[in-house]
Amino acid sequence: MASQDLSRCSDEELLRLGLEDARALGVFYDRYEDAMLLFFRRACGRADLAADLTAEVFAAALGSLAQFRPELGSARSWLFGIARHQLAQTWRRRRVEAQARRRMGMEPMMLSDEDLQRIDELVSDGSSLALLEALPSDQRSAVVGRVLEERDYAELAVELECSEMVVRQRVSRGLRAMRAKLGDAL
Amino acid sequence: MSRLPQLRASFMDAAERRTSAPARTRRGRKRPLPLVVVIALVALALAAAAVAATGVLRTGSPVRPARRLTPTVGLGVPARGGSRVLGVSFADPAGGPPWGMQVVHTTRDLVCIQIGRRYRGALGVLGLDGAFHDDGQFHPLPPDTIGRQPGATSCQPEGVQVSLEVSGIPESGLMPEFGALGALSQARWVSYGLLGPDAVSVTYSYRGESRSLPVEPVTGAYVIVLPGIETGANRRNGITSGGSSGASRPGAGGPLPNPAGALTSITYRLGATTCQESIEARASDPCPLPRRAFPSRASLESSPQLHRPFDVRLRRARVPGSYSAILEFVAPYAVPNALSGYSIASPTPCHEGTDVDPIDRDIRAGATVTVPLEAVFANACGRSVILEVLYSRRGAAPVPGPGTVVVGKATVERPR
Repeated sequence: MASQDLSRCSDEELLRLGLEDARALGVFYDRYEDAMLLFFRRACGRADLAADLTAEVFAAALGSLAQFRPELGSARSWLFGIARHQLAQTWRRRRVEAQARRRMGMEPMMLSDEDLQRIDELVSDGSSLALLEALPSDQRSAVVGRVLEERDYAELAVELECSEMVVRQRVSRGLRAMRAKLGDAL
Repeated sequence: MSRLPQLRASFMDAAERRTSAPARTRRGRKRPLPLVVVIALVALALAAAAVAATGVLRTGSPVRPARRLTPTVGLGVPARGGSRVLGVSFADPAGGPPWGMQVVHTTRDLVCIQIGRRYRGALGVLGLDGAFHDDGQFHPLPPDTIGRQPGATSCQPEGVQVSLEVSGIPESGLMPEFGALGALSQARWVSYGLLGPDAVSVTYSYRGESRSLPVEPVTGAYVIVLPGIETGANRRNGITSGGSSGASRPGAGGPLPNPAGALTSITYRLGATTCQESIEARASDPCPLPRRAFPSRASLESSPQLHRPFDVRLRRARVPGSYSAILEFVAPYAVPNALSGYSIASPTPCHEGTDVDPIDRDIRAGATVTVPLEAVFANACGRSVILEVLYSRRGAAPVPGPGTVVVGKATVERPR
């Protein structure tokens, strides 16, 4: 098979190629490792849980690679869908599951202080996530849902129990608030 | 470079194993199952059969409300004797108790509709898919869970009709308390609504086939439940949510089917004839067009308390350079329920639009209202920001006009 520059492939192409070529999955992993850690670190407030959940999500994604249907949504949405499901399961059951990792034969992680520190740096390095943490909760939910998770305004309106217009306002206001604070910091 | 090299290496090992293994071994070789697994599978099958049979369900603990409701804030609390399960039902694609609906009248004059699984005349959820530790039991949904089930609950003023389309509701009927709407592989696509006494039936599209369903007489209630995601001809299904609400009579701004959903038309009876609100631009018997774009709203009476200066006290926030504030004003109008309310608006002349924070609680006329505001200067165009206190009737736009008045206005300067 001719060598291919996987870094130029779309996420959806990587998942398709990943059925036969593990390197494509490596590129996909690299694209989303930080995003997953950020998502869970923000949701749980703990670096160890973020690492645990991230591992479970990638294992679950690997296990259900053949079920990915690009016609139903982007690979990003698919991965975040798995992530949100894992998070909901964790909140429901009060523990992080390891089923997917066991199924895929992935070794348990031994997290060092440096590992945890690198995850915490994601939210404490003055990045936009730190600004996100400072937003009022209604704006934060709207910005996270729309910008990080790329969900529809209509879906968010249902979840946040408000109109689409209010969700748009919250996203707009939240982003402007973050821009304003970035400006203050410069 | 990976932030967690150990995880990346473990993931790549698993990926290598997966891609190098022949397809037949990925599916696993057939081996005799250990006895304990067989017993567990039989138990699971029996539990599933019990759910499917619907006649042998045990009733477990009720769903607990996610947050404490207050009679004068937000949705209010369920009014005494104001809740009932409606007669509508729809079979679940996987069997088991059908889906149903209950209405809950609240102390703030809202009508909330909840959907869930219906069993022996009660509405509830099932212990499936992780809900209630998969106990296979029926768990009632008490009226005070109206704030617990986003997506599976919708609240609006009495007399306002609504048609909703929601994807991602778990098969159990129990919405997760945090995060996503559910696991899409097990989720349901649900259309539900209250269309009022003029509604006759709804029509929806499923796998390319059009089906009609009569609504409940008088209430116009309906519920339709389909699998959450399917491919192929059923492309409408499962990837969207939305809905509409409006007045009770067609032709006066009533609910319309969501163009991105499965509902394709709503049939109403107007006197001796019927008409349809349809997603099709050229329906054969369309309902008459509304006479005006929005229902009329009488202008509010003037009050001597209008245009009074109000007090804004700034406080340094935790974020460096940011300020919160405490705003105080005297309420000229009473807010006796959720049908009207005050809000704090911050017009931003250098951006588009106005930011609005609603004050979602009952307020006595003449009362002093204290409102905490976060990040006051977040949208400031310069060193100052304009704050307006608005009073609006429900449904009115949060800008001065019919149904909305400016109670007061202040310009707040950022400290140097």
